[in-house]
Amino acid sequence: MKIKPFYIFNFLAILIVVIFIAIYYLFQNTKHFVIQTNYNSNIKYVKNVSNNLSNIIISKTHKNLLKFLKNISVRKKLENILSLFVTDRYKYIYVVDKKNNNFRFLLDGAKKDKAIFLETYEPIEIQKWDMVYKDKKEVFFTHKNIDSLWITYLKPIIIEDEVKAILVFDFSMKEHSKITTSLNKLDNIFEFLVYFLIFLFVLLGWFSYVDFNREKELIKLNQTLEKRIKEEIEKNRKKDEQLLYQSRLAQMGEMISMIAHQWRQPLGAINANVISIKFKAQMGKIESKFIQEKMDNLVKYVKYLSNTIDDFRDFFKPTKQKEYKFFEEIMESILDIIGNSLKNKEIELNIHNKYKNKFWIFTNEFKQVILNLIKNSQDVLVEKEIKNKKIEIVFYKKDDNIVFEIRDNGGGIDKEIQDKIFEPYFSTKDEKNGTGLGLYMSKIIIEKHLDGEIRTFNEDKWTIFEIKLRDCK
Amino acid sequence: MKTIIVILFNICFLFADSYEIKLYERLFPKLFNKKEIKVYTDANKKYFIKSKVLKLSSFKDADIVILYKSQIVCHKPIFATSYISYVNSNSIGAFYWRKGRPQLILNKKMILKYHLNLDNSLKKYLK
Repeated sequence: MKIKPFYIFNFLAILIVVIFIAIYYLFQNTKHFVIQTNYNSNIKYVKNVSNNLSNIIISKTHKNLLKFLKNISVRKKLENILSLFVTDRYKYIYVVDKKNNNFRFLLDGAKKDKAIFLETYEPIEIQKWDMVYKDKKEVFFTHKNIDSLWITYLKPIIIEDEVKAILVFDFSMKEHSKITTSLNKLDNIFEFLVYFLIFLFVLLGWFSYVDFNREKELIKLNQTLEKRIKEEIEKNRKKDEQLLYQSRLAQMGEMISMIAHQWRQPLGAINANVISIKFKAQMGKIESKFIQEKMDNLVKYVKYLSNTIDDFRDFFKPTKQKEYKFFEEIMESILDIIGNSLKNKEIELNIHNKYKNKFWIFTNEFKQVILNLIKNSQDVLVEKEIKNKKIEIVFYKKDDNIVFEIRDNGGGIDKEIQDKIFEPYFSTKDEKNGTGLGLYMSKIIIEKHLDGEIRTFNEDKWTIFEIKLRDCK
Repeated sequence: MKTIIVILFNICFLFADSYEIKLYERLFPKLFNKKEIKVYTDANKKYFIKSKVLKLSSFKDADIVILYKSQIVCHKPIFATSYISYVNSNSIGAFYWRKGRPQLILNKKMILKYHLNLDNSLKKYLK
């Protein structure tokens, strides 16, 4: 089965869309994984640092946080430790406590924007800060700062099961936001491409559908046409068969007529010999020598009659393969059939053979055509009562072709009917003599069986039928 | 008021100065119970000119003095712009930014001293 390129293209398009969707989902998973991992790594780091700092603060203040932090040197030491972890990302690390519903700074690791010890502080989303005191659990929450997303981490500093203070980490998610933004942009592009590809795919599908329907209609039309052509060919074949049958019947009639003509002379001769024997026998003067002579004559005439039958039978048998023949050989057998008829009708036959070599030919088919043309010329000459009736057969070679010309001085064919004479059932003869199939069959044989050309034209009073055949060597 | 601050903080953080003046526009008329407040400030802040809070060239006729740079000795109510200046001066309150968060403090003692009006919504900020 032959696969059309269009279907291969469709298959590839589907494959690309499927692969792209798969890549898109893979990218989605990767994106979530990258964002989550980045976020988690930040949180994990902050948690670990906070735990350590909380432990350090507790250990340095000996569980009495406020009392020890009032000591400036302790405070400075601890603030120095906090400041070690302050970077652009982890911008604010400080400790606050709550007194009378107000938060105040205890420690501040910041270098800039540094708060004073016990400075009051009003945090945003204060309820979350209160929650740390209430639940004794760490809290994360995000908020927008000037340049990017920030996360505030509140770690309770628990001493003797009581929240004494909160360790606060304000850290920037700027880099995380950048990664997320870039991935989201890529995600949007991917999403757009997926939708675009799906759109293209749908468009392609629609075109395919339209094309498929059109092709289906074409195939249907072709099938109908093919069927009609087959029917027409079959009709023509039947018509040709019918014509051939009719032509054969006509030729058989002609053959019988010719046989009768051929037999007339030998039958007359046989009759004369038999009468002569009968007469001698009645006279009583019959001699063995005479008998022998007459019997030889009779054998000769009977053999002639038999040969005539053989000649006619062979003449209409189709030749199965090409034969390598001289022109004279072909003409000899033709004249055996029609020679006497021409003589009786006082028609002079001249043969001009200008090509002396053998050539390949389907002999019987070719003879049938030549005989038919000579017979036509004979009928015309007799019908028109032409004086000095002449038929000339010219055979020569021109370029790669061998050319046969059958000419008669019957006065030519009217130009008006020249184009029609090769059509079936067209005849200028009366109904008795013409079927209108001879020239049609000659044309069919020359053009379809012998792969040649046949045409007719006039030269003065001469009608010329020209047959051109390729000289196959 | 606290809610207002939070909302304003979220919306207007990029325009900190603008946020500051909007806070003054709401706070001072409540404290002085006046529609138009005359302000003297040592900072060259253009936004005062356009606001309802009028900037004066001298503190003599001012209702309030907002200090950004220097200490000043006057009998007018002073409003500080940092925690240190709030602590070191007898200011009626202060507004400043700490750890990226806006801070508003009001000094009850000084507010009472100048007989200023203390709205219920402002009581949360009293220290």
